[in-house]
Amino acid sequence: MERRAFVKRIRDELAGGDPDGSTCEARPCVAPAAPLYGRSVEELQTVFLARQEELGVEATAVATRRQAQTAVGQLLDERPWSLVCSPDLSWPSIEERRTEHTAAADFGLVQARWAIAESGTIAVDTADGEHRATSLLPPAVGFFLPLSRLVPRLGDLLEKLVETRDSLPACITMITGPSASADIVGVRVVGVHGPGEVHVWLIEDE
Amino acid sequence: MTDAAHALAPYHDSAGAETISGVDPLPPTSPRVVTRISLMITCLGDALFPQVGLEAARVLRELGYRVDLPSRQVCCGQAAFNSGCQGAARRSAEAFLRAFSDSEAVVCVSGSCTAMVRHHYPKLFAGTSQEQEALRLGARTHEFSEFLVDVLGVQSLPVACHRSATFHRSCHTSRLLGIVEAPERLLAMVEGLDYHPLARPDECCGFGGTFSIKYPQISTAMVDEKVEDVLSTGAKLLLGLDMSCLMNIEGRLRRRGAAVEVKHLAQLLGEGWQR
Amino acid sequence: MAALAKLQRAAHLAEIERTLGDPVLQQTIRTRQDNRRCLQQQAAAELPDWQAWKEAVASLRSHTLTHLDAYLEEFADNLERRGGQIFFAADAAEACDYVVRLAHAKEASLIVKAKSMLSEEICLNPALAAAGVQAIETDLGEFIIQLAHERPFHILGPASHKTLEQICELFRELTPEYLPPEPQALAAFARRYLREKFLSAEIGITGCNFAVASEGAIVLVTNEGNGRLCSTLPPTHVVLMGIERLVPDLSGLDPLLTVLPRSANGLRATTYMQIISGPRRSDREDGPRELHVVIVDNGRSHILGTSYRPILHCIRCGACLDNCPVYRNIGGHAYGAVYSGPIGAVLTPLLEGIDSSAHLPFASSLCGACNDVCSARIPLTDLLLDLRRDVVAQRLSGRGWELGMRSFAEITRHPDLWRAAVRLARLALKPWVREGFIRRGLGPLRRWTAGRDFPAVPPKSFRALWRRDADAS
Repeated sequence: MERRAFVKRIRDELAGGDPDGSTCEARPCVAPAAPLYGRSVEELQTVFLARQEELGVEATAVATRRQAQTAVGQLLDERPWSLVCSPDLSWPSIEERRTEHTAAADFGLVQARWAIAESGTIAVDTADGEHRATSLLPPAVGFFLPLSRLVPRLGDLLEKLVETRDSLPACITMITGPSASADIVGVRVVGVHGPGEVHVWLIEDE
Repeated sequence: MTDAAHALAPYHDSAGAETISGVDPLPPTSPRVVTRISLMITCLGDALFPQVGLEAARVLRELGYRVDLPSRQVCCGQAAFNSGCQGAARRSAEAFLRAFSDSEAVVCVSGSCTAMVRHHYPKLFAGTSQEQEALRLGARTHEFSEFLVDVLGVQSLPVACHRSATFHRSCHTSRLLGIVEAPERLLAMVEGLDYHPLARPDECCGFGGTFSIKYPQISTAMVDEKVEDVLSTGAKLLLGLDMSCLMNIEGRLRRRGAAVEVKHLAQLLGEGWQR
Repeated sequence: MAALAKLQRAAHLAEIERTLGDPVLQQTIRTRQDNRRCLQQQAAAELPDWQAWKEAVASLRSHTLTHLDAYLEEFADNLERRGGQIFFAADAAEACDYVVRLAHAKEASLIVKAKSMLSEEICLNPALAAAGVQAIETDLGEFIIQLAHERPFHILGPASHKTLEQICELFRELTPEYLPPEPQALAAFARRYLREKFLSAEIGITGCNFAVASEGAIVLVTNEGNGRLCSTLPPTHVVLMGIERLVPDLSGLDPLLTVLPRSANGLRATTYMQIISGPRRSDREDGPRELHVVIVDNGRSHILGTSYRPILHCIRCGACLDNCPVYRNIGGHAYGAVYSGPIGAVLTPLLEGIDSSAHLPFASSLCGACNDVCSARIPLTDLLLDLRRDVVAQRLSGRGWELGMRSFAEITRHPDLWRAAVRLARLALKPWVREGFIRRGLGPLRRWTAGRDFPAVPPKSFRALWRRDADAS
């Protein structure tokens, strides 16, 4: 159906019904204030890391990016794994393990944009050359998360997105734990389609 | 036809949370003002369970109130209303309204009938000449346990019953009227009562009015689970506030050969009253 | 139409019998309900102002629908601004037709689908199959029921009725390799099997949980990752969206995404929540080159104009199904439609026409458990009562019931008639009374006594005893 006719049909139905009590144009003030805890960075960090443990995510707080990179290097050597990540994120010592072929990579490394302490959620997006498939196709995925990017609640994250809405990336993905499903007889299994193994390095000086 | 989008009915969480919107909750009725109570005994109460009304009246008299029975009352129209027969429901309800026109305070021995009057009458009579009368009746009709605890503020009762008992929370009573604490408090006032709560006191017993006859197979499956819950408490006495639910559960208990007696809370209080 | 109604009703009753008579299935449904209720309650208890959050959802949904036309236009403008394409589908046929034409235009032979109740509502898969396009469900539960050729059993857990052996048997038809009846192994197989489909499909179709008007963005809420795969790998991404999915702006997502995961799965957040605004911005990015959003009406606008509008507030959390004692016993298939449980009992007659599903509003004891747990505080039992009223007004229910109710009503207007009726009932039932109860009755009583005893009518009614006491004193 043509757009105008489609919308008109809706408008006519709405006009036919009794008018709503609140005919004001203003969008309703929504979320109740729900501070589960204070907002000190230490507290947020503690809650976030506790959530990761509950979710079965390997999360480590490190002082610098250098340390995080060293940890990734060790992980890759142990398994041994191939790595996919954006060129901006990469560093010399792992270049030999890096592959462009995401579908065949063992481990995807992604720069996290934001994280939510309350739910233990990590937000990534498609800005700065980050690919969606990097945190999706490999069976294992890791995130570099600057501590300064940790916010208390979902509402805080949404506020940040609103602030930068003019440059909203094509895809923002919020990730909470490994891919999971209980569709088979109610038993929780991980790594159904997305990554089953998740690592997070919380970089304290960023 | 009222627009339900803007007449959201009040809903009470079974935890007794706040109303959303719409009809006033229980109005503050001062016990000093009311001396006369009119009994709403319900059609089921009149025909099948006369003892419930008698015991309820006894308790109210013991507490010092004059109790009368508006003689023209028969049925609040709930069954017809729940069946979608709006016209028939209104016919019954009109007569019911008239029957109570003289009453000051009305106490009903059924949570579901109280809910019908308080919760559904406003919509049933919306836009009619009886709308105000319906709202007035709703404002002064109370369920039995609610009346004792919330209106009269009863703190203790000279009641004893040395038996093991459990309690079923009827859906309309707990959800539509938000009556959860009142019966619990009353049970606690009964000396010697060995109370074992159900694992799932809120779970529907499967009566649902005509549902029990339209879908007897589902109804029976539901009441079976309730019976299992009752039996697992080990209680020998099942109590409640609604004879329609209790009749349903008792019917299944008996069919399964279970030796559990079933009574309305009013009967427990009336029979156990110590003189 | 009457014939269809009879068939639907017969199927409904047959399915109820079947489910009630299957002890394994009964146990499965109950266990799942118990587990989910527990998870939901725990998650809700963690937020001290849980009710306030649900109020926020309710008022946001109400506001959005009141101004739906404006938000729809805003959404369309913004989506197009960001490079997306929109199609407005008045009904199922238009929606299917658009997708089929698009599939042909893209020369697509394989489509991967993420979970979309709407796609089932409009019967998209059969339309695609008829046009020679294979559409594979990739959500684990949907994948299973697609193989079984069944309807979803539950809005969130479509295959929740299937046993391990049944699933194993279905998967074994796809591969010669040995599959043990073990959840992790079966899931691993599904992952392998479907991964190559994701990589080769020309089109990915998803549903849409919410559509943000201010950004022209769609929001996908999933747990497995198949939604992400469908919206990332194929070069064309098609979103199927009901008109009521709109949200004014990003901040409106707060109450919605706070309540939905908790009500649905007892989670603080689902594994994946995506906000997608348009196709890839440049070739530096991956993701689909084209994003098509098909906005579907299919009877929803009509509901808007009636007193049933609140049913459109539903955010598809499934909590009503998990707390419904009727669903607990009859399962999802007995509702005979895509949507089951309390939401289905209201939505199906409204979308499909009340004449063919006149029985659904009556398959409820009106206990109200659904109202208590509804994420959007929809007064479901009130809507069921309204539907029952409509069924009777349109004379779609048995005349017997209506006449019976009317006769009863007349009797209740006359206390003398009532007294006589009670006396008559006492006499008529006397032959069947044993120890104060009736074990076998006639007429409507027969249905009761099939499973329960019925109390005999006592020798004296309350009124008679009251008069006796009054005379005595």
